[in-house]
Amino acid sequence: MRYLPAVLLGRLARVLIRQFRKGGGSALPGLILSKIAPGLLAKTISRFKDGLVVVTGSAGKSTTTKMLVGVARAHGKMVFTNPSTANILQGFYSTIIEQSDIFGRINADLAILEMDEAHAAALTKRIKPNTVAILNVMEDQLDRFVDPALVRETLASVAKRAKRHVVLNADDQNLLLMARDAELKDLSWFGIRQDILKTQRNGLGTAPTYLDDLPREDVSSEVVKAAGLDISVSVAGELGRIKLGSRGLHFAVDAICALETARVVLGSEFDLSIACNTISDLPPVFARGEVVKINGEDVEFLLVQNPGSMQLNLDNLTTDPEQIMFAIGRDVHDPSWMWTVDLSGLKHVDVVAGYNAAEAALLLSYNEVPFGAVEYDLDLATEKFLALPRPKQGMKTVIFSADSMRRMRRSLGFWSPDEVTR
Amino acid sequence: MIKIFVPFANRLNLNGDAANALILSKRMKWAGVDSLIVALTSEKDFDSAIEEVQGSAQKHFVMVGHGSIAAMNSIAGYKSRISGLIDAVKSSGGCGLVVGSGYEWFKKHSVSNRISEFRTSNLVLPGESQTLQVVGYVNSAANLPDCQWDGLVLLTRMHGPVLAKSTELADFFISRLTGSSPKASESASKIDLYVEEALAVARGERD
Repeated sequence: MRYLPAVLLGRLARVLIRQFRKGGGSALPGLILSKIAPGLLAKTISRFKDGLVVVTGSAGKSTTTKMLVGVARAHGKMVFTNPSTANILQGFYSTIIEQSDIFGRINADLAILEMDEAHAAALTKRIKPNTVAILNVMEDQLDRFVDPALVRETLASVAKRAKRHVVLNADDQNLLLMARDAELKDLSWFGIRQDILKTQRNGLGTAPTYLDDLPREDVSSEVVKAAGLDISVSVAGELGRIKLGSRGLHFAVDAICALETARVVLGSEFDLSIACNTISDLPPVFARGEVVKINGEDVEFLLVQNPGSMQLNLDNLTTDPEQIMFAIGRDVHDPSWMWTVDLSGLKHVDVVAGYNAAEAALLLSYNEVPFGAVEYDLDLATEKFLALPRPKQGMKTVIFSADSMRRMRRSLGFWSPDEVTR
Repeated sequence: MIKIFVPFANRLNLNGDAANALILSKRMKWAGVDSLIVALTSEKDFDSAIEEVQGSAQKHFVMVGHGSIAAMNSIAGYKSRISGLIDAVKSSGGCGLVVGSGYEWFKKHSVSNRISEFRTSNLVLPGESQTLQVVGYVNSAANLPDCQWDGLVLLTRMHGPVLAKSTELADFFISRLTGSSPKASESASKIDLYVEEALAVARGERD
């Protein structure tokens, strides 16, 4: 009853905003609710009998969370989760507005939430998670986080608050270092078999520690074979196979993290074949190698949010797309990080677009990547790109930052709140 | 041939700082000037570089980037060699650029808090009354001037590819290295248009 007015106000804000902006309006109601009922999220989660699972780290949170939620649901669990990329505080409150009854109650067994490093640190002070899964530490969002060493400290504080399990990537020296220095307990590890990892030109893009490598911990779950979209996994000694929704070894990392986390969370109920089938059936998280139909033509969307994801996506442009649009939006406040990326995988760009198109054009010019039109208006740029004749082979490929991704999807009519949140 | 020496290009590149060498090299190429980027990663590399700088009449350039805490710790043993190279370049009339934590490394300072800001600094050129603009991003509130000359070596709190949008500064370096202003080129002119727009965006002048 206490939260009734706050939830109703949040819902009213959501309805009003959507009158004016179709497909948008999920962040502001959440922000309002978080201000007028700051205790609601903790209260909601405290009612779940299996508590809270936090998925965090620099990259791969959305995909891993989606996989983990799918696996838990396939095992009969009722799960409260945040839509992809709504991984900041107002996103959680927006989700409550959407999923709760008018009293702010949600019928679920557990919460599985993806959180960025800073919000995970803030939220876990108030709500102790049962399980924390950490994917990696990259040189990411340095305008916010400044230095990977500080990110490690933040993530260590989150991991220390786990009541039961901490699940870590054994192929990230940062996490091995963090586990050692923070003396973390109840750990379990996942990874990629070393011979597979060596095939990746720029590794998995984790931040270098510049120290002697710590020995890799024994892993409970491991990707033992990877060929295109098909991967084989070993989970607690049992073998399984998965067909990933998107290509790239980073998606295999997400899958193995999801499996190991599901194994520790579900305990004796965990069934590997159910888990593998569920992950194989999932569509890619939007814009992470997602292929959409536009005007009857397949178009691939690749989201780049940091040096790591940009490098991995460019390294995985194996089909050498004939037509590429490169759109960098307002979310890139300090574009310096783009200059750390090896652009040798990018042979040309047809349309350079977005609020930061000029910066992108500078980057391409100095790296001698040939490019066509530079269009600051994203809608016009999209129009120009889609008007190009169909490629003779492969499909049109859009490489974009999060802001350009949201704006472009919205203008193309992908309205679902799950697709255009934040 | 003008050499652009870059100590630990992979480690001192947290914000794309090493791209300054690429930018300078490309602008020289467009102006018809030969240059070579030389990565330095060992004591032997530094010794050879210092020897070359001291032993020829050619003016060279040194670019010191910005590294993570881990990267700076990992090269702590090379601090005097990097400093020696900067001194050698300076003494021979060459130029250099030291950005971000590279600057903080060499100058006593304290950091009160962390920030993330776009900055414009009006820089008085050494030995001249002329000024030019240096622009870039800063994420450390160190109590150091935004820009400071040491001979023809510029130390700046700005990190990343400072020369990408500070093209006047890049051309100033080229003029001092070659003895004349860089020849106009189509590529450089085209870049100027993007620089103008990128600066307008960085200054918040675009909706």
